[in-house]
Formats: sequence, structure tokens, C-alpha cells
Amino acid sequence: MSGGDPLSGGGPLSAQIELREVSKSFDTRGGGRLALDSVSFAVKPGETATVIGPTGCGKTTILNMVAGFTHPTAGRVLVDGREVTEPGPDRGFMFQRPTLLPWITVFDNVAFPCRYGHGLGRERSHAELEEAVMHYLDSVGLRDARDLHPHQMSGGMQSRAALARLLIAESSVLLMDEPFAALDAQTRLSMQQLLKHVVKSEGRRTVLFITHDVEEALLISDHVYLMSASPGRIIRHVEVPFGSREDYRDVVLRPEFTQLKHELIDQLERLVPR
Amino acid sequence: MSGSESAWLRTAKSLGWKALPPLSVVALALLVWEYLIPLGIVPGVRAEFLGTPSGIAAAAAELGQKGYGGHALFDHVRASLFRTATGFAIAACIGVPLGIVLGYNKRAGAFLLPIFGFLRPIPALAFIPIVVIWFGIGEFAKVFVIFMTAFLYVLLGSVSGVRSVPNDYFRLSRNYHLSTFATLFRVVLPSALPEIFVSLRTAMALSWAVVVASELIAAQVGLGYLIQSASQVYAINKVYVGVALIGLVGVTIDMLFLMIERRLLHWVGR
Ligand SMILES: Nc1ncnc2c1ncn2[C@@H]1O[C@H](COP(=O)(O)OP(=O)(O)OP(=O)(O)O)[C@@H](O)[C@H]1O
Ligand SMILES: [Mg+2]
Repeated sequence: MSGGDPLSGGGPLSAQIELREVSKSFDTRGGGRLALDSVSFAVKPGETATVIGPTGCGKTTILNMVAGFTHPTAGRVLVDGREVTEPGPDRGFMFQRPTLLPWITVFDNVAFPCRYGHGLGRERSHAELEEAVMHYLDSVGLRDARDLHPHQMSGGMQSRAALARLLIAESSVLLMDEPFAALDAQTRLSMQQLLKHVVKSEGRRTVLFITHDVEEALLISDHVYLMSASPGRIIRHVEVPFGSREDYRDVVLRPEFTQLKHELIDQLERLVPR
Repeated sequence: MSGSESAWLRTAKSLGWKALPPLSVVALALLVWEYLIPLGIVPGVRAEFLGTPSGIAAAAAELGQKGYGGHALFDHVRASLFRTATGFAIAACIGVPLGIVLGYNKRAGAFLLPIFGFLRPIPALAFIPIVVIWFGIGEFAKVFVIFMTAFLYVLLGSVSGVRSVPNDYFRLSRNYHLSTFATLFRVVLPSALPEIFVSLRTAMALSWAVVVASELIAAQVGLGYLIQSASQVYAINKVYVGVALIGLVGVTIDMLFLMIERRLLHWVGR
């Protein structure tokens, strides 16, 4: 996984996400309702940024706009300096549920974007595709599960497969909407470590991650953005001071970690309307 | 060795004991039917119209050997099956693709679906007189009625199958810029297939019921014709045999569909 990855194709894969005073309102029966209010932030190439905030504050909406599934009412969403107009394989999306196709095997699920997608960069030969699938199955620890169908796997394994499918498309931007929220605590922890390990060792993916879980945010990201309840605004930016290559077992023992975590949890709790 | 044998014997015995009560009820019923009912103990129905088990066995043997109305018994089954299969196959070949397109393309669906939705609740049998006026009482009329029945079912089932494809699958397909062709054949069709298959199975069962009904009205061969014609001469035992055959064929078809479904949709229900 380390250093010169033979599968990376060599091109510059780093991108930058930028939101400039983005507002979004949805049409409702009583007229427009503001969901996001002038949100601005930027994610540098190779960094992982996480947005946390109370439910309904517009986190998914932000991710959908970067993905190109919806568009801002005002302001601009830029990826690589270009305005986002439509979804594209340069930005991979990982859903809250694994969303594997149940009628094909894990191998075929992971190969899916390359087989049927367009605009994923260079074409791969049959052998190259097989090699790439096995490479990513390996990196998520599913080498032996290649011929299983999704219903034959645990929830954690399905998440791993979905992660492998996300990675194989070589998208430089990874958009992840609470991808581990449905997992048990232990599996979630191992998925967090896996994601962090893969992202850091590849060093060419920019991640925008969404979660409710403050600890998760602090463990995997370089930057954390805290949002207020509806209409969503960014009310705090934390530059995570723990080295992103540090082992989480060392990190969680640090007093600064505990303090920051409780501070954020308190702040979040005060945001939730009672 | 003797131990395992006695275990086997015990299982057989306990099975025998379990089968005994229902079997004895059936045997008793047959005895009553054979010997008491012909004495005229059922009020309001003439005893000879109720038939007897031995009469049914004799009728089955006769139908098997000599056929009915100038056709072998197998020809009657084959005629009904052929009409059903033809009408159903045409319905499936048009209904499934059209349903997928109308479910996938909201605008086309908005044009046509209300019309089909209005037609579906009309019982197929109500179409028979209309079809007879249009096409006479030939083969085509019967196949057409079956087509109408199966088509509406399959079409609306396919539409609903496509509409219940999870939105995330569509987002996956948009994310990686899948072609419309790949989206339809690699995502939409497999995802909708379980529901499409249920509608096919229901449509098949309905078709089988409708073919018999349409043969009651106008046919010279077929299981519906057989029971109708036999009943006109009060050959009650032959009617029983025909009805039992209709049921048997219906169950067999349904089991066939279930088998294909289990093979094809190996991921469903897990
Ligand atoms: N398509 C839509 N039409 C109307 N309102 C919408 C739509 N999508 C989202 N909203 C509204 O916008 C607000 C933000 O929704 P969003 O899904 O982004 O919240 P979220 O922060 O992701 O919440 P959660 O943590 O529960 O996932 C909510 O109040 C929601 O009701
Ligand atoms: Mg959300």
C-alpha cells in the first residue's frame, strides 16, 4: 500500500474542495425554508475534514452539493477550482448504508465502477482490473471474501466492500455520509482505523466526512467543522492537533484529546433544541 | 445395527401413527360418499348428480383411454396450455420492457400509466363478450383475453418494481456516469426483478384461470370446454376429473415458476 502504488496511474490526484458562502433553501408548502446559511470552508489536497452538527443541520445537503446531486441556492461550490455542475467519478460517494448490489459478488461489486462507469481515467485491461480489485479487497481485508454475495457477509464486511468500491474508482475526493454510523462500536473503530490508514498511506485523497460522533471526527480528521442547528452555519473550526499518523490508542489517552472531545460534545449538546 | 434399525422402525411407526388419523378421516369420507350418498341422504340434490369415488375413477380411466369430444385428454390439456402460454408470453414480452421504460421515464409514465391503471381493475371476464364481438369465437379471441389479463398485471408490476429501486442505486449510477443502457441492465432490471417475477407468477395464475373461463363460453377443445360440455350432459364424474386436472396443471405451473424464481433470484429473502 505504501509509496509507489502501481495502480495509481501516476497523474496528480489531489483536489481541493471549497464552499464559498453557500446557502441552500428548500421549497416547502410555506415557501422557502433555509437549510444552510452562508457556509464557507475549504479542504486542502490530501486532508480529511469532518463536519459534525445536530441532526437536520444540513450536513448531508453539503455533501450532496459537493457530489453534484443538488445545487446551492446562493454561493459557489468548487472542486479543483471548478464549479460543481453534476456528479462525476472524480468525487466518490459513500452512503450511510453499504449499498452493495445484492445480485452480484463482492468482487463484481468492487469492480462495478470500473466495468460500467465512464470517465474514470484510463481504461483497464481485464487482468489489470482483476489486479486492482484484489489490491483493494486486500487493503480492506476481504481477499478471501471475493466470491461471497453481500447477504453472506456481516455489516462490517459490507462496509469494507463498499470502501473498496469507493477507493477503486481512484476518485481524488471522497465524500462520506456517516458511513460507519450503523456499525457496532468495535467494527466502527476498526473501519475508522482502516480509512485513516488507507487515506494517509495513499496520500492523494481529499476526504469530506460527516458524522454525529465527536470521537470519530477527532480520530480521523485534520480539520473538524461544527455546525449549528437549522439553518446550518459553521460555528467552529478545530484544527486537530494530534498527528494524523499517531496510533489512536495513544491519542485517546492524551488529556488534550479528552478535553477537546468533551468541549465539543458539550457544545453539540447545547445546540440540540429541547 | 439392531439399534439403528429399531430407531428407523420407531420413526416409521411414529410417522404411521401421525398419518393414521387424517387418512382414516379421508377413508371414512370416501366410504360415506361411495355407499351412503347414493342413497339420497343429501337434501335438495339428486343423488346421481353427486357422483361417487368409483365413478370418478372410471371416468378418469375412460377419459384417459378414449378422450372426450373427439379429442384425446392430453389434447384438451395442451389446447388450454397453448392458449395460456401464447397470451402470457406475448404479454410478458411487451409488458416487462414497456413497464421498465414507463417506470424509469417519469414523463412517458405520466402519459400512459393512468390509462392502464384504470383498465386493470376491470375483471378480464368482462372483456370476453367484447372480444367475442370483435374477433368472433376463434383462437385469437381467447389468446387476446389472456394477453389483456397478463399484460396489465405484468406491466404495472414492472413499473412498481422499477419505482422501488433504491434511490442510492441511481445515485451510484450517476456518480460513475453509467450509460442509460448499463443503468437499465446492470442496476434497474436486476433490482426490479424480484417484483417483476412476482407479477409474472400472479399473471400466470390469472391467465390459467381466465383460459378456463374463456373456454367455458366458446371452444371445441380445452379443459374449460371439457367440463362445460360434460356438465351439459350431467356427466358429473367427468366434470370432477376435469376440475381436478385444471387444479393439478395450475399447481404444477406455479411450482415451475417458484423453481425458476429460486434459481434466478438467489439473493432474495436472505
Ligand atoms: N429534498 C428536500 N426537500 C425539502 N427539505 C429538505 C430536503 N433535503 C433536506 N431538507 C431539509 O434540509 C435540512 C437539512 O437536511 P440534511 O439532510 O442535510 O440534514 P443532516 O444534517 O444531514 O441531518 P442528519 O444528521 O439527520 O442526517 C433538514 O431540515 C431537512 O428537512
Ligand atoms: Mg444526513
